[in-house]
Amino acid sequence: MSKVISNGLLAAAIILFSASSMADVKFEAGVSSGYQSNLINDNNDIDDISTTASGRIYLYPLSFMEISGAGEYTYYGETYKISNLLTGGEITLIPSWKDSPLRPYVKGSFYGSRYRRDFSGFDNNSGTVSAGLMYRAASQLHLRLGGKYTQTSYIDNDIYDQKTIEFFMGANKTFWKNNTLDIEAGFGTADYSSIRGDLDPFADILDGVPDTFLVEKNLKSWYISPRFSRPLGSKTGMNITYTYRSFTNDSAGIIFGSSSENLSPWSSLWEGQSVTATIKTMFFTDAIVTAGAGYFEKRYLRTLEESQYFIYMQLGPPRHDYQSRLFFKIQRPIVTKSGWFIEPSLSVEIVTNESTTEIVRMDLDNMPIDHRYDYDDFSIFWGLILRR
Amino acid sequence: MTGHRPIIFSLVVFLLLFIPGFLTADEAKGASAPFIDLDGDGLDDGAPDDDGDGIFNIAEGRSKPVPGETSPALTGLASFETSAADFSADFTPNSGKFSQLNRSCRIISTHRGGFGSGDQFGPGNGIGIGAVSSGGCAGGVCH
Repeated sequence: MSKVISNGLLAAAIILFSASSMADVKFEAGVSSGYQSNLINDNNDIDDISTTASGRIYLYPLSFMEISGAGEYTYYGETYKISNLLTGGEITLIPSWKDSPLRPYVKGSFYGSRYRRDFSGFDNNSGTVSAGLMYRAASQLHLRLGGKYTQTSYIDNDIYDQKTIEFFMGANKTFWKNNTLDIEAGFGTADYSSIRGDLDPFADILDGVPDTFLVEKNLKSWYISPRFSRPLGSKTGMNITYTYRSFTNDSAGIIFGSSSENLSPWSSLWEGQSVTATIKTMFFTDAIVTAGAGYFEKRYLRTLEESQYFIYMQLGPPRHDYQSRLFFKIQRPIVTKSGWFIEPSLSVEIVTNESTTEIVRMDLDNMPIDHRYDYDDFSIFWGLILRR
Repeated sequence: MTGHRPIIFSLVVFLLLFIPGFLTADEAKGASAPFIDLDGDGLDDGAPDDDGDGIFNIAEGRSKPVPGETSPALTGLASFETSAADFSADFTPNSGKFSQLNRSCRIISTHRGGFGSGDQFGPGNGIGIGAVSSGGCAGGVCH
């Protein structure tokens, strides 16, 4: 932890020193707090209040370059053990040439996450390099392609380590004045450690999964996603987006914990389809209101779960979930004459999840364990952003 | 049965689109550039926003720039007609020039079907690294 803090302080010192000679520096601070009725997203219904404070400083040495350093701390009330500190930085380059229809984009970032001692196994460092290119083929037709490489390394538990490479391409066309169709497709691969199917979760996992039970695997995934958007009047816009994503070679893969206190890197990895619709309006003169609804069908990889309460291996078919989500958000941006940007916000989200997975096993004390992913979640958060 | 839910959901949304009142969608008044929506919010990326608060001039009942608040960096979000080279003779700070470039590149800085992208849908709070960096979730906990 101290190394991360010292690195963060060093980065901040470098940026501040640079800022003294280059006046174009911006900063942003934010705080948010709220209540979530189901923090872990399972049938345990563990609710909690959390507060996040963050700060970021931006430096613009050139008109096409942005360098930033940031820190963020999230504190949880009841489940305070998963409170965490995130520090890191980014550099973005967007070179451009006058009258050129091409616009390239390059970005590199590095972040480190650190948890309290009981969850230090999830401490990780993650680096990402992404690049893209957009081409204006006509006044209302834009083509794009890009790629991203991400490497995430867990400091004390390399079983979670991932290397991913992703590519995408897309087209954005406006027709009939202001109707826009955007189609995107992509392909990705992920190197990861799979667990051998003959592992006995009770006999072998108590002191961690031995390396001899790990097999290096590569997961391939592709997706296609059309999106339609259009205005509804001059102050309101909406979109509907469909996404279909499929793994091509996941049949034998078993991963370690998709829900382990919701900290596993696999908790957000799934194949399936989703339909979402979002509406955004500036109808209320001083505020931006956004609301959305979404439906998701998710299929996860086979999973070996371990936590403080559960030790089991799911040997049946992969977990299959049906999820509905609704959200509402209102922002009240304020720009003062002295140049400050202040934005309070309030957001509410409701999630309902139905799952085919229900596991009842006996624990080490021969007590039945009922672990399901059928759950509801309600969350309400307020936030405040200050930017200069 | 559950496999039909996305189709039903899509049909409902499309029916909403074609309610007669919605067919009278206006074009952004005063916008000289063609309508472009790269970020998918359904609104014109190039609509003027002189004070840079994210609310378009037309929504604020403002037809002329606010004296002293004009920010070229926050207009013409997707315009390719302007570039960093265009500002070589003005006094727009680097941050302003970069902001304009960055807004036009939002569509290539994120992609919506990659690993871990499923949690990008939702309100977010715009606060913290988790909200602005790729991945969308800070430390695995997604708000």
